[in-house]
Amino acid sequence: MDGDLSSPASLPTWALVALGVWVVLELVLYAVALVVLARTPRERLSLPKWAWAVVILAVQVVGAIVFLAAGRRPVPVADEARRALPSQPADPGMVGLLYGPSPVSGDASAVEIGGLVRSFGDVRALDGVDLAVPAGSVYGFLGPNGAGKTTTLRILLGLLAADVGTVRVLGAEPGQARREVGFLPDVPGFYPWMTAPEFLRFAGSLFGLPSDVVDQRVPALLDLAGLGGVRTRIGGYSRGMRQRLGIAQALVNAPSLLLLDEPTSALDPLGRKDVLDMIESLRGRTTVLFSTHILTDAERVCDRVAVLDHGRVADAGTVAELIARHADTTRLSLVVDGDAAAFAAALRREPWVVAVEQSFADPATMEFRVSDRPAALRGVPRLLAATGSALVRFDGSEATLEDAFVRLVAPGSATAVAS
Amino acid sequence: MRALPAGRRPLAGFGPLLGKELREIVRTWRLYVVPGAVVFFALSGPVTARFQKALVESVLGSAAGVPDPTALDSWAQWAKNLQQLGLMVLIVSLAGVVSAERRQGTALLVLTKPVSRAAFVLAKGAASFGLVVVATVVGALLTWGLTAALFGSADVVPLLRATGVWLVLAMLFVAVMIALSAALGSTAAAAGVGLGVLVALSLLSLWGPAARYSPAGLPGLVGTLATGATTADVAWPLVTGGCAVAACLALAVLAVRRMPL
Repeated sequence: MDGDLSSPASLPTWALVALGVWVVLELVLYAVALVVLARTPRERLSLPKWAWAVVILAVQVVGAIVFLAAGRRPVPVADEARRALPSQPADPGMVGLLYGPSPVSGDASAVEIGGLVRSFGDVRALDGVDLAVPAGSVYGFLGPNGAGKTTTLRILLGLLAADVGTVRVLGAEPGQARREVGFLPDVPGFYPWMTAPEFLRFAGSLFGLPSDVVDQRVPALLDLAGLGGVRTRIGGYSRGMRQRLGIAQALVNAPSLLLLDEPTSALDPLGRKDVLDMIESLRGRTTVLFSTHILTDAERVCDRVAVLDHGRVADAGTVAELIARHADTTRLSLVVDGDAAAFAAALRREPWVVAVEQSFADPATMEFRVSDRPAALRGVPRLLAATGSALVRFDGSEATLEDAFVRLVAPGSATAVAS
Repeated sequence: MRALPAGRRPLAGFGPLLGKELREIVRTWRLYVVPGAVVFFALSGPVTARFQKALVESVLGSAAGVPDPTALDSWAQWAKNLQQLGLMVLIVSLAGVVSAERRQGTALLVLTKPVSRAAFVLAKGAASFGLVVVATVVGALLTWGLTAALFGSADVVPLLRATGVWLVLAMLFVAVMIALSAALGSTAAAAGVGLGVLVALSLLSLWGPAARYSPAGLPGLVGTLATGATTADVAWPLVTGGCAVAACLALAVLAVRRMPL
């Protein structure tokens, strides 16, 4: 070994170690540069990928360093992308692209549930649920927390088995019709390293859709979800953006049944409007069954609703039917100028008044519930005149679904007592 | 909470799921961990083998009686690194392969589509094992090249045999970790139990019949073959190891079917 440098084995020890370290560092640098090149979207590169690969390998260490330092354009941060997001209304044309011209017809039920029972240990989550969701309808599934809504949806998806009862989804056993079902969970999870188009293509491939069909649908779905201009990966998305993407992936297969678990819960008012517009545009094209806490959403878009409480359907029907059956009072509010105490006392003596609440901060502001709205509308001016008060503001809202809902699920209601 | 039976195709969705797993490997940290460790072993093993004698004698003097290093020492170092550190890296990197998807909600979005849970599991196994194979082949080539540079000529047959047996052992642990990640639902728990399985296998290998007829013999085989020795006790550990892989994957499918989403 001494004095002979004709082979690597004869080099001094320190030289061999240094050579080894240099080789390792160079290989690591190549590997990092090539991996970063592979992972960088082509729109962020200043040269085509093949050109950078040649630079890295041919110019060796210098080429790799040049690429890592200057080869990529900076990525737009998710906040900037969100600010740049146009708020677009749902486009009914997108629905036509997905579903074609033929609406859903017939009196068949897309979902039929009979006597559904499901327990978790000692807890009976579902206690004899009966439900029929007409095909082509938008059906709201309402109920307080723990009522059994999510459990019911999971049984429809085939994720859970019922203990007792019959369940038919699009005429088949739960889980057998998955190719025709779209689902949005309450908190959708995505792969953070994917972009939205990649995830939609992946979702489409899981349904076995031909690639040309997926290529046609993905841009339309992204526009429908208001994500058409977003290039960042899903890991940088806000909660609302994830929810929109969740709706888009639920529609990728143009499902015959769309199951949505709290679809508007994470959205701002504009986002909620867009989602509700989208749901409305699906009426007659597919069947939508969505669970929600937001009763105004259900009131706005649903053809029919079912209220679930303590594992049972407390009532089901159109929104108007539920209000007529259960909301026996109308809420009115007003602000008077004058002897507020005298007016409130006179109001309480009227037979059509159920309850009067005066604002603690401003007694002239009152909210009262009445059993006879026409009588109330005739009586209020009379009482104002009798007490020498003037009317500053008046709001005579109709009974709402919330009134019916509260009466249905309040403690002491029939459903609560029966459980 | 047993899931209801999947559709008629037992491996529905395998292709797209495998594509997703491979893209995930390329686009995330998974690309660096196991390959990085294997490349490190490949480069450090020959250097360690080449200079070990000089290092020992610099401390203990020539009386230490360390024999001159040969290429077989480089293969032995490669095998030792793979068996000890390599398997540990594999176990830790795969501990969340299923549980992470369940935790982040992607398993729910995927498994409510017409894909089978068997395809979900097997795609992960195929992609993970594919990564291990590619990394190990690259590592073996690097080890061979660096060994040839440092020692002159090097008989590559012991390296190939030892690496081949190690790949069977690695496939076993890929299957074990997928099953544990699905069954335990916690990344930390799966990693802990996986390391426990590694220790248990090492202890079991001390018992002669287990070493001759069960997968517990695989670690010892890797070391023996790397030194250039030949042994007749190769077939049974490989066959039972293969059967154990199949059994673990079947258990993983069962665990995913029962997994609450």
